[in-house]
Amino acid sequence: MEFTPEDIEYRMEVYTDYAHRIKQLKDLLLDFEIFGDEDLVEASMRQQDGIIREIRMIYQDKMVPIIEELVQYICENAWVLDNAAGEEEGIGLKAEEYEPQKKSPERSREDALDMGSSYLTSIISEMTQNRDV
Amino acid sequence: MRTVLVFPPQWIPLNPHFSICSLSGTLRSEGVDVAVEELNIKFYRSVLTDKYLRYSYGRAINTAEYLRQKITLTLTRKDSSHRAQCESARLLAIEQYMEGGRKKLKALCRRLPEAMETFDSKELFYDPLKLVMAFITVDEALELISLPFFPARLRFNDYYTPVFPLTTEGLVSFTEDRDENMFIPFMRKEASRILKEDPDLIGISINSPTQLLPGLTLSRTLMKHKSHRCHINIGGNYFTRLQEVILKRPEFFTTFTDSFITGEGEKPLLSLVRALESRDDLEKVPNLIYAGSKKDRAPHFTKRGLPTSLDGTAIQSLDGLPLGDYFVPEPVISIQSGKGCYWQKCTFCDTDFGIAPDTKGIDRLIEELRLLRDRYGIRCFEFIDESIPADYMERLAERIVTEKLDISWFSNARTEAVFTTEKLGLFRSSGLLMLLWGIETGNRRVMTLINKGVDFDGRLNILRSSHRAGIWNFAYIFFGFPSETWDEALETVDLIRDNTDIIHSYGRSIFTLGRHSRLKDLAGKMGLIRVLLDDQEFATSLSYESTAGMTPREVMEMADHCKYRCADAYGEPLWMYLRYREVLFLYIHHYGMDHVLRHGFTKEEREAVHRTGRADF
Repeated sequence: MEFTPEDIEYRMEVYTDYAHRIKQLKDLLLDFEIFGDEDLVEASMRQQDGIIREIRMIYQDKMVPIIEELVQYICENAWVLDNAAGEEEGIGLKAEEYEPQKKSPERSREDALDMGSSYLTSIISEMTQNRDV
Repeated sequence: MRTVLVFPPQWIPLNPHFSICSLSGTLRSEGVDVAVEELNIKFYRSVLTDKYLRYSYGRAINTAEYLRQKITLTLTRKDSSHRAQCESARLLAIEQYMEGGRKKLKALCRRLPEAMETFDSKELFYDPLKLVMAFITVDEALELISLPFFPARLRFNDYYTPVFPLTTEGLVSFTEDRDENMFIPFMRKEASRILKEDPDLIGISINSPTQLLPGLTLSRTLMKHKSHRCHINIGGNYFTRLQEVILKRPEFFTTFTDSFITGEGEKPLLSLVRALESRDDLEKVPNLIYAGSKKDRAPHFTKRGLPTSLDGTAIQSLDGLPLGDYFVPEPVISIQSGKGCYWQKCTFCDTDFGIAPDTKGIDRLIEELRLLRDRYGIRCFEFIDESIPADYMERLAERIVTEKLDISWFSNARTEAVFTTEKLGLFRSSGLLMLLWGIETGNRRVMTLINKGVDFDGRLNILRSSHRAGIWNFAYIFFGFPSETWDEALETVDLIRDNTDIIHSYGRSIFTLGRHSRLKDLAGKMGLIRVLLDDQEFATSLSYESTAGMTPREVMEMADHCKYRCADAYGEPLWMYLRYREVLFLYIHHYGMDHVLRHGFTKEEREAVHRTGRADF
């Protein structure tokens, strides 16, 4: 898999848009507690259930695939990161000396979820900047 | 025909704004069915609860989670836009707060109910330490409430957000942006409740810059959900100053309102009610701006109406106002003996813009004072006149005494020689407890530029007479008049410091160049201003650069310098912690001037206040 910096940035943008949608939905859930109409409890509960379902759907069906895709890319191209970090410390490896780690898609997915999305995006950002250099 | 008058946030929640009382009085006197919605006080009462603090904390967490993603993208793109900078500052502020945040939240939720009780209970309110600590708790609560929207800030006496410019585009964006606008959920709920009553006319009163964004958030929500029959109107002092801008913005009439009333609103509003009632042409309503019927919907301005005569205006009405909800245990009601300013020459001022000067007859004023006292039990009054002439004040005081009204009051005044010792003694005996004097500056050159028209050397004698009469002297001063130097400003600080025996308290402010101030037209000719920027069409003040004198940063430093130098000169007395003039007035009313002058906190009490890091004086 090969991504240009633009490809990565595009995925980050899509991912951030989904993160924004999730933020808005979570805010709406909070709004219900404070500003919900007490006369419409049932309707409110249905709406809240709908919001929770939408959050889950966005996360699982939209955001996780982006994470997985990018994690796989990181795993396949991890030398770029390590090399960049090494160069800073003066112990950079050459590309041909690096043996990339191969991971199963299941393992990549678990790792991605473990790492957490914010950590992941910071890695991606760093990587994009390194590629720019 | 059902009319609803709305007063939106933000305004200091200490007493009802005069505009809403006067408008409802006028409409009611003509038999109009009016409901009053005091949303400002309702907003403060809604957010200053432990439940809302938890809500704000939750929103801050949601915001931080999202911004961590967003800022990664921002950094990748090397985006240094104003919005990106605001979001970075917001994430930083939230993360700083979140260090020990749950502990802070828990403590705040525990303290807030006691603070709120302090404002409602006479016994607690007049306990100085309890009151000061209550103010500090409210400060902390409002800081948390503002946190998800940082650097926007809601305070007890202010609301400010720097994220959007005050342009048409900025206002349209802000009023639908849930990430930046803390008022949207509240306004949606209130709009829905108001519209359920199926009103024919909803009048929204916007008088201050701090009301602009919340007020337009409400009007936009109402415009979106109202029935075709319901008419939305915005009135008040703020848009009166901007009528030339509104006339160029037809989009305002599809987004925010059906019409604007400019200038004094009492007569035009009544006329609008009648026109809507009889489905008459809006052209007949004076001082109205509404969307024209041509294709371009260019706004149309009807003819100017005759100025309102105060004697012909109905007495203000407090019906329907939640008088017990204001943050004081006894209401201080605004009242007017006249409108406009009888001097009208101060170069810095434009508060009388769009107002035709007039004075209320003494009989009419006495009738109003008596009615407010008898019907609503009001004993404390704040005269909101720009200044009351001494001879008028004399006649008023005589009548208050002879009619045995038994009220307390305070007012603005000009340091004119006609305020003699004898007159001031009479004023005091009629219940005048405090005079707010426009001292402005301690420097002769700056005073000449201000064109205040008072005797620079003789004015302290008037304050001395007032002091002897037992009247509390409050001095307004300000810094940063174009070309004012650091040394000249120091003379103002020294004037206060050298006269603490007769200047019992003071309030400092920073100069702003009003859109309609006399200085705006004169400053160029006088060589005081180099650049004049009108970059925010909906701002009532303009950006400028002085040709000489202090920089904006130095002006802020001077204000701080003044604060500490004067705290030192006065010895941090009680009044410095009472913050707001209505509160100070109530303390003088309750304890008497001598007690308030003498009272200071003990060393332990002062340490307790300063330990919070939020002592504000």
